[in-house]
Order: sequence, then C-alpha cells, then structure tokens
Amino acid sequence: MRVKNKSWRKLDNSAQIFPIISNKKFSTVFRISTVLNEKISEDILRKALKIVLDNFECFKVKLKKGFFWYYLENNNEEPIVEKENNYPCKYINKYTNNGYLFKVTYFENKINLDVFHSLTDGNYAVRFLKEIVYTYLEISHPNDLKDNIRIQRKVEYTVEDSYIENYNKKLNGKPNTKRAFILKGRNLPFDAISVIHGIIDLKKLKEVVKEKNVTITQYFTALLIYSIYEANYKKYNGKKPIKICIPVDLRKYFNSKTISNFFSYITVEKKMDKNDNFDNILKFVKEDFKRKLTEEEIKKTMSSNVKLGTNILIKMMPLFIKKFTVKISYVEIRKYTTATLSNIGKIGIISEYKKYIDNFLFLIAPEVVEKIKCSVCSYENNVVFTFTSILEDKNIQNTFFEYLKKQDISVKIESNGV
Amino acid sequence: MLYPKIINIKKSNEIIGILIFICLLISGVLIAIDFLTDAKIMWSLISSISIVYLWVTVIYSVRRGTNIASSIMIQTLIISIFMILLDKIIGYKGWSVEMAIPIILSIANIMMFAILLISRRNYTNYIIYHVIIFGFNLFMVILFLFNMINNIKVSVISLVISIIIAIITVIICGKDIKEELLKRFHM
Repeated sequence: MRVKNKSWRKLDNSAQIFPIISNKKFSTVFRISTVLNEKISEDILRKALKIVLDNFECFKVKLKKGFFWYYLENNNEEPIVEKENNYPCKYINKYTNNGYLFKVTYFENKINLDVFHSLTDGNYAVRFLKEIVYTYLEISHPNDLKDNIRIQRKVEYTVEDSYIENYNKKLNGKPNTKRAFILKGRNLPFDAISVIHGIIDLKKLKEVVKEKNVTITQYFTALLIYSIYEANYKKYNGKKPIKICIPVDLRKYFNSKTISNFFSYITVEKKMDKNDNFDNILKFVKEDFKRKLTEEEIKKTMSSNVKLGTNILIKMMPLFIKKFTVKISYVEIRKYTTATLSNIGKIGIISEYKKYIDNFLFLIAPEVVEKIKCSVCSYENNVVFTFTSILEDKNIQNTFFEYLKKQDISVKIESNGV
Repeated sequence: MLYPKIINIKKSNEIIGILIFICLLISGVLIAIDFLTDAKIMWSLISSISIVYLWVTVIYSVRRGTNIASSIMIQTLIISIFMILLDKIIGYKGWSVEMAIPIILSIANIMMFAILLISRRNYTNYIIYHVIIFGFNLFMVILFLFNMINNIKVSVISLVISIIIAIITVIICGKDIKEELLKRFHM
C-alpha cells in the first residue's frame, strides 16, 4: 500500500525516544537474519532490495533533526548492500549507510537485516525481510517460482501512530521504578558482541511446556531467570530482584496495520530466595504473566507511556534540552531491567519457498547496563533462542542450554566465536 | 559458519590516533622553535590553528553523505573564527570583522544562490543552512550596533547581497521554505 505522498512524517510515540538515547554503545538496533540453502549473491540481493523498497516506501527514509523532535524524511539515495564485516546489531552510521535506518548485509548463506528501532518494530521488520527473501529467490530461481501468486504477498500497512490512535487518557499504569539486579562480570574487549544461538527442537519443547501447562515464552522466561540466578546472581551475591522485560506486540490487542512501532512490554519481577528452583520460578512466572499480560494491564502501561510523550511541556522543550534530560533519566531507567526477552513467534513462509530456506535468526543489541539480551523466533520445527552479550563469561548461556538438554530437548549450538 | 571473524576493528582508529600524534608533535616543535627564536609575532600559534582547521575540514569532509550546504556553513564559520584569531595574533586591527568576514559571508551567500540555481530539486535539504548563513549576516549588524565595527562599507555590501539573495530565494522557493520550517519546528 502506498502512503500519502508527503516528503516527511513524524516519528511514532515510542520511536521518538530511540534517536535521543542511542549511541555507539547503545545502538537500539535489532537484527533479523535468514539462512538460505545456497550462497548469497550480492548483485541479486541488491536487485531484490531495490524492488522490495518500492513496495515499502515508508522504509525509504532518513532521520532528520528538528527543533523539537526528530522526524523521518524521504530518502532518494541508493540503499547499500555489503558483506557482513562487523558484529551484529551495531549502531547504524547514517554517513556510511546513505542515511537509511536499516542495513542489509550478507555472509555465506545468510542475509541480515539490521534495523534501527525508530523505523519499525520486529513485526514489520520480519515482513520486510521475508519480502527481500521472496524476491531474491524469484530472481535466483526464476523458473521454479514463476507461477507464484504475487497477490498473496501484498503487504498492507499504514504509517499512523497507533499509540496516539488507541491510548486512553484516563488509564494509568503502575510505573516500573525499582532497580533490578544488574549482571556482573568482565566485558568483552573492543566493543565486541558475543552471539550464541540455541536451535531447539520445537516438537519436543512443545511436549515439555504442555506437560508443565505453560507457554513457550513463560518457560523461557523462567529458565532465563533460573540461569541468571544460578550463573551470575549467586556468584556475585545479588540482592535486588531479577527483572525480565518482555515486549508485547500491541497489534494483537488493537486493530492496527501500522508499519511504525506498536509494542508495549511487561516486566516479570522475581525476588530471589535461597530455596528457589526452576519449578517454583516457573510457577511464579506463570502467575505473573496471568496478572500482567491482560488487555487492561497492557493498555494501562501503553497509555502511561504515551501520556509522557504527549505532555505539552515535553512537546515544547527544544530537542537539545530533551536529549539532555532524557539521557540523564535513562541512566537510571536502564537499571530497572536485568535482561530483555523478546519472542517474535513463528515466521511463516509460502510453501513453495520453504525448500530454499534453512532458518531464521533474531537478535537484539546488548548494552552496557543490560549486558545480555535474549530473542526468540521459530521457523518450521526449530525454535532459535539467541543470547547476545557483551560479557566474557558464558555461564548463563551454558546453564540455560544445559538445562534444556537435561529435559531431553535437542539443542544445536551455533555462535559467532566471540 | 554463520558469522565472519571480526578482526582489526580498531585499526582505522589507530591510524587516526597516529596522525593526530604526528600533528601534535609538529605543533609542539613549531611552538618550541617560535619561543627559541624570539619572533615578533606568535607565528607558531597560526600554524597550530591551521592544523586544527585542517583536521576539522578533513573529518567533516570524509563523512560520506555530508550535505554541501552544511559544508559551506561550517567552512564559513571556521574560516571566520580563524580570521579573527589571525587578526588578534598579529596585533588586532579589526580587518577580520570589517573586511574578511563580510567578504566570506558574501561568497557563502553567492555559493548558496548558485546551489539553488543548479540544484533546485534538492534545495529543501539546504534551506536550513542558508537560513543560518543569513543569520551570520544579521550577527554582523549586531556587532555594528554595539560599535564593534568602525568601517561598515564592506559589511553593508555583504548585508545587501544576502538580503537580495534571500528575497529571490523566498520568491523561488517560498513554499519549500514554509514546508521545511514546518518540518523542523513540528511539535
């Protein structure tokens, strides 16, 4: 769908914050990758990207600085495609990326889409990458895929700020204002990021979570808390609660087809006890989800966040003052979360294309306070649980995957060797 | 293998570090010679400022995608500061603010007008810098009002040039200017 022909647009309510707080050490970039069953050709990938961008005109933008807010302006430069030569989810430098807020790279059989969060959230980033992959495969296998019904792939979207459209002025959420346990340990040198993917057998995992009567996200959240507790909290004699932030796609709760960000979050907060084991952590997480993952609670959290951005005093504040105050507030706010776990769920692919695709990967940038971030996606019979970390120590990751293996769940480990 | 091996990620930073060190060394040597030779003016300061100017220009220019109008604006600003410092170092006579800066501003305004004529379609990307350069001209008027400029002939010519160019620009691109200001000042 084409949007109204306007040369610029405002950032949505949550996107406004990312350019203010981001920098080289806090990139607010996430990555979706796809692993094909064939080597990637740079020329074909470039062609595919250009074709897809014509259908995703809203992604043909650059970030500009206004007096009060940043905004998005049409970008007529060529998008850049290059071989992967840096750690994933790194800060996207506008000067070396022709101003685009996403970056397409490739390595061997893998296509990466790194996205600055002001552009969109995981939901539409996945759709964008899927389109690139479909088009890539159509160019590289024209005879096999010529009969494909392209209408099935028409991506419908708007650019509305669904936060503003759907928030309720009267609702108030309980703010998350208590400090969390912050992971300890030595950081990796040279701004390196360690990536560990656990490729998990979905069928077996489903059996285990069914037996426990929980969802996959609840199970992973509990296991993450347990792993942090066993591998870091105990070692460093932690006192504060372990708090896991879980983003929630608001499109499930509201009728929205916006390509802009539209997510909120819940925070699972577990005060640790000496007698805690995995089963009682799981029981706690299940109950906490039940309390917090309700339509009413989600709307309350969203509305509270939106009201902050629509406050007239904040609106009237010049950008340089906003930047100063928000950066200072964020030094504190970032300490309210131990780690983030984001699950974008199942990535569905049109059946004719499946034989060319091996897997999908989802990664989020870690940073100096939230040193570990976790992300989950699933494709066919695989669930890929990814740890991105700036910590040298890999004990949390090892504890997590070892526990799964003990439950007879098959896990294949892949990493970037850092 | 899913990821490439990342090596020498800091190499380019190291090269820049070495170049900065060499420049600091040269500056140090020049300042030492200046002191030892007992010169009438502090010529080593001029060469040190020139080195700083060179770095600002290089760093700003090597960034891919730098807006041509922003380059003109930055160059106008740093050359003007350089001129004032030069005037000060060789015994302040006021030629920097009375002659040099108004001439630099006139050149900048004429260059902005040339860009408007050559690249009308992209002019929206340059408007804000043109407005800032025009603002520098107004700043010269303020200097005059506070009696900081004695000889105003060149400044007046420069101001007239900038006003004429501003009027022509508003006539040609009035709608674009309005749109650009809406964008930049949206709340």
